[in-house]
Amino acid sequence: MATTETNTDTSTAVETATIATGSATLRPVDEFVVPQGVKQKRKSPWGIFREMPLLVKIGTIWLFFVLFAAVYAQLDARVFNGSLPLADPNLQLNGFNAATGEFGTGTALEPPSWERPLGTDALARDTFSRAMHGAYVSVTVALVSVVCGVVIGGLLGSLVGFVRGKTETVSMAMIDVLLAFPALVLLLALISIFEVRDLFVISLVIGLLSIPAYTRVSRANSLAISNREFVLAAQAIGTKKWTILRREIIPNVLPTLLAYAMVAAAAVVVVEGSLSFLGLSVQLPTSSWGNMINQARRDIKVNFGQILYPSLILTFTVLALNQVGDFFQRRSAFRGSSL
Amino acid sequence: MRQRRVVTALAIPLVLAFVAASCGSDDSSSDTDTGGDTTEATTETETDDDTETDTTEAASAPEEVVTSVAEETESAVFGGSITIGLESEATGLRPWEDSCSSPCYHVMRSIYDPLMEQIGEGGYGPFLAESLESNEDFTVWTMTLRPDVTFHNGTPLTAQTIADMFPLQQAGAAGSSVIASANLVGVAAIDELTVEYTLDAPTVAFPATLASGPVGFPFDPAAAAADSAGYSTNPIGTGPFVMSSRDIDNETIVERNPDYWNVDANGDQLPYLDSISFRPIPDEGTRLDALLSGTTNAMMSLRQGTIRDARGASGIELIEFQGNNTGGGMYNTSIPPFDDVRVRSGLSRMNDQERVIEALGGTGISLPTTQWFSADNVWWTQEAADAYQSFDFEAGKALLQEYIDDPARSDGKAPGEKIDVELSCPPDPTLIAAMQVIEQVWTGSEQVNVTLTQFDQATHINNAVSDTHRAHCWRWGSEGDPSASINPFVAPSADSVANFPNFDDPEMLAWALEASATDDFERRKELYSNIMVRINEQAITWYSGGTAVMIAHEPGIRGFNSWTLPDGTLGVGIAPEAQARWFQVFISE
Amino acid sequence: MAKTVAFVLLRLIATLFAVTFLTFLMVALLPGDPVDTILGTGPRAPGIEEQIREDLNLDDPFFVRYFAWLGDAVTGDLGTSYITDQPVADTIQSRLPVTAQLAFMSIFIAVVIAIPVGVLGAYKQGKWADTVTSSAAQVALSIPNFIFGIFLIWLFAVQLNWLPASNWNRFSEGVLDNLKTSILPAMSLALAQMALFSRLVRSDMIATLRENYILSARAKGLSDRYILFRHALRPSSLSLMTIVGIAFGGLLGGTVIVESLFAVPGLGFSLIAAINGRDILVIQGITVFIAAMFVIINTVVDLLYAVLDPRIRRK
Repeated sequence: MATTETNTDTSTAVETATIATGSATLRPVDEFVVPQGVKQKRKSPWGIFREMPLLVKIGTIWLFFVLFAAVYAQLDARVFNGSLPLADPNLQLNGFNAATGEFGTGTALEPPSWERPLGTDALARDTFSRAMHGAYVSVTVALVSVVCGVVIGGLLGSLVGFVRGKTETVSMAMIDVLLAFPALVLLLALISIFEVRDLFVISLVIGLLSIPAYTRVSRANSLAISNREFVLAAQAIGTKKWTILRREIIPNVLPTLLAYAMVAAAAVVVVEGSLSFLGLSVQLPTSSWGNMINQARRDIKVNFGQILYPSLILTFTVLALNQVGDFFQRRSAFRGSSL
Repeated sequence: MRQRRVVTALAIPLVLAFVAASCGSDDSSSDTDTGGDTTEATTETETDDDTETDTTEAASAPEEVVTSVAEETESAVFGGSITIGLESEATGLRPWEDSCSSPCYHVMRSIYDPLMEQIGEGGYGPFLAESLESNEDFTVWTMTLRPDVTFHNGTPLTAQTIADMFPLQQAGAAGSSVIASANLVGVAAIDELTVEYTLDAPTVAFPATLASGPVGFPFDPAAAAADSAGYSTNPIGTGPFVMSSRDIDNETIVERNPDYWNVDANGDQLPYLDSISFRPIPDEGTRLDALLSGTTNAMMSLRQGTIRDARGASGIELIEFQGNNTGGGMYNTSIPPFDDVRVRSGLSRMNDQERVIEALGGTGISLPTTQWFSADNVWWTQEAADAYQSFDFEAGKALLQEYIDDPARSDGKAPGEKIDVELSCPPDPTLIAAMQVIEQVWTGSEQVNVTLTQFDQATHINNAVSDTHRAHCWRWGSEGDPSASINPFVAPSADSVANFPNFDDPEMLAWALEASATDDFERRKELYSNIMVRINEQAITWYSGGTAVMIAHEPGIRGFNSWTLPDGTLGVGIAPEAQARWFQVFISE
Repeated sequence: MAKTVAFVLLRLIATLFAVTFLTFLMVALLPGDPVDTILGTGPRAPGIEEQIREDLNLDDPFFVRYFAWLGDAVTGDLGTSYITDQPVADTIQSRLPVTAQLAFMSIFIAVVIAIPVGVLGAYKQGKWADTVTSSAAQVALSIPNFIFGIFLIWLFAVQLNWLPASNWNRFSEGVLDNLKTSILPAMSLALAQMALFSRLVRSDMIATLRENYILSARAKGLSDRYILFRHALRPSSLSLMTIVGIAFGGLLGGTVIVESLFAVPGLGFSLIAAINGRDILVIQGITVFIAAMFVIINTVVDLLYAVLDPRIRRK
């Protein structure tokens, strides 16, 4: 959005950091502006985990489970050639088996059972296995966008928030232009340009589109930090700008930016789900949660479960990312304010 | 919705392939599918209330139908309105310009009348025309128009009108294509009601051209020339209904034409209905729900899965039809490895039709096909069926292995390496399901690396047009005269966009040309059969099942299947592709 | 103040310019030849391809085409669809009311629910009511709108058969008929907005409740309800207003997936259809329009904020 920032940054209304979400989430940047102070003692991951409220704990566990599913499914497919205990996600259980020359005995739209925890889809494929493999798509897209966002957006934002001047005006104007587009539209058009729709291209395009939002968040944080005594002091004694950026700005921008990254990743997972739902993400037979939902729509009257499971999985994952992201945001806000 | 500009009938019904998600295929010409199959897959009406007035099996038993039509007419009731759910919005309503698919023809046929109309057994009878005669070699056709027909704006329809339409049709995206494939070069008004069409090559199937929207639907050329874009939303025809309001992508309403020329068997002025509301509802499930919940009174579908769901629903009646339109795909033979018949045959041998149909949701609805005609059609031949390379895994494997081991294999890979195959379909869930069934078997052979791709419809079609496709989902056949779909398909690929597989065979071309120059039915059948046999032997295309279509409606709506030409001949019902002719549809008590 | 306004306007124009250029560039990069889009797969009369290329100036250099288009666009002429021959501006004009109505309705629903929920959360901060509403908001924020939409269709249209699953009745066809078709898509869109607004109201309110004048109002013995809605809500309404403005701008482009799910004939629905049909000028026109609206609305919100917030005005 265009903001009226000349030098009075307070005149900005609520800056938002939408990621290519269409309408998924629209969160004020303010929530993620937390000036960090001096270096603090780090807590161990376990310590942080114990600090979490119950729901956030569950969310964290869920996210680890999703991560595990993605890694396990990929290991099974690429390293162990399907020898790990997990059904082949693309095997049609009622289909022609080239090895035996016979048709399989499975059926389409089976209800859940011990053997097939989430039943089978309309092509008699194991839904549990497809969901596991679908996790890989979501995890990849989320990670790539976080990396793009934190590395490029984070650096750019920290830099312009600290250096200011023309660099800032020009960069932020460009960022504003990118943020002016209906994000899903921009995404659809960009993906059509590439023609080939593999996970790599999808992740990269979504990743690139995430950069503006990260830039805004990190710039806002960088601005706040740049005005703090320890930065002003460092400047006064003639420390090099680059050194200040590296030593003072970036380390203090990072914690809030990472909290934001969780929330942004949630939005990205929704975006990928939407694209998949429209049939415009990864190519089948590769499964993703969105295309599972789309494919199950046809049979919604016959079998509600097949559309329900991937919907729940997608929603839980987004919820968990939001929960955990908010937890870290609150945590750093608390520490920031206690300085 | 608005994807193609393609067109028609004569022109290219082979088009639309599997491409049809929201566009069906485009063709306006059709011949009749004669039912008579033992399965449920043919024209048939399931009635919950089992009324005798419904024209069950209309097309399959013409004699019976005539009686039932008589009954219908007696019981016909004037008045009432219908809302029908269509699978997509009409791109535009200018027959000479806009590409029109099945849902679009629903609307157009309420506004416009055709010069000729389809009857059973692939024939055509006069509608707005009174007669149509040709010279010896089928290069000059003389048509006499019905007198006293006026357009909605009061302008009379004369021979000069038809002649004045021609330049617009030649320049129109839809018209130019049909004119080119019909070899039409000149239209002249001989007197008040006589029109002479001049062709530059013998074309037996010319009547089909005059049944097609782009050339056969008269419009007011003066009004069209004055404001072409405006004509798209305010079309003026001679048809039974007049455009009342058009809210694109939402609702189009037409109202009874009080001055319509056509009368029913009792001599009462048609149409029966007061108005029709067309609602585009792209989602198949939603469209059916809209009918079941009473939001609409009728719906159309070209999807087997929807027909399956509709059969399971209560409180509605179905008119089903499966004609000369089959799903499947093709290989681009200009690109290795598809230039080698062993690869094409091998892959086609691994196309498990039954399972593909099951994945499409069409088991018990759609029948496996072996050629561009359904098994009950007059053009269907046993020779072509015998030549089709049906599912035989081991045979396919052997063929592929032969290619793989060939040191001179065309794709330039080393002997022993797997073959790379790219299979592409539009991103429609059912098509993709079907595609995955094929992929499963191909991959299972362990001889092929399969890449599946999906592009939106526009890109999918453009890939075929620009010859960048590989193995490509497509739809074959048409209800029209076979020349409509077959001739452009076998024309030299350098000249004909519609020769999608780029397979040039002088002999096939010669057969097609001969078939256009004779009206000896047996000979023509033999020639087209030869072409089908050759296509099957060369494995240029593969097939899944026939395209089943339906109109589902609330009980009590009649006339979709029992309409007649002005001379009383029974028409083709809802062929092709569930297109309704509205002038004799009525709501019984 | 005048200087700020001038700066803002200048910047607005520059942004709009950049937006049009990027859109044009992006659309120009789309694969596929417009001529194939127009002519489809039928046989082609000789010379017709060249004719079309000439008529549409397709062979002109990129910048010539861009500035020609931009020149027309400034006067409100966004070109004519290659496929339907209808002016793109007309399409937008007939679609905008639908999308705008959905955006208004969903924001209305969201605000009406969010304010009491947010106030309750702030008032009962830390208590179970707060925990429940906050958690519910968190969940609501996490449900993708297309999933919620599918659920609504399943529940209200398929299971209960109360509302149509699709269709759109225009406002002119009667308010009740219109409501029947608009309520489900509006609800799908409202869910996330509602959660967002209620969180905002809650956190603003918590901050306000700590302010001195609230404490003194309490000391004066005013009722809690009076304090909450008369005193405490007012400062929060400013930030709520800005985020509602931004959300509205965002919704104009954010209804794409819900519109295509419910077959609502709005801007997003046309856009998806145009993308699928490669209807280049429609893609271009709608994208630019949505982006321009978004930028303009945000600028207005910014200016309003500057005018209304006394702290900023003083500066």
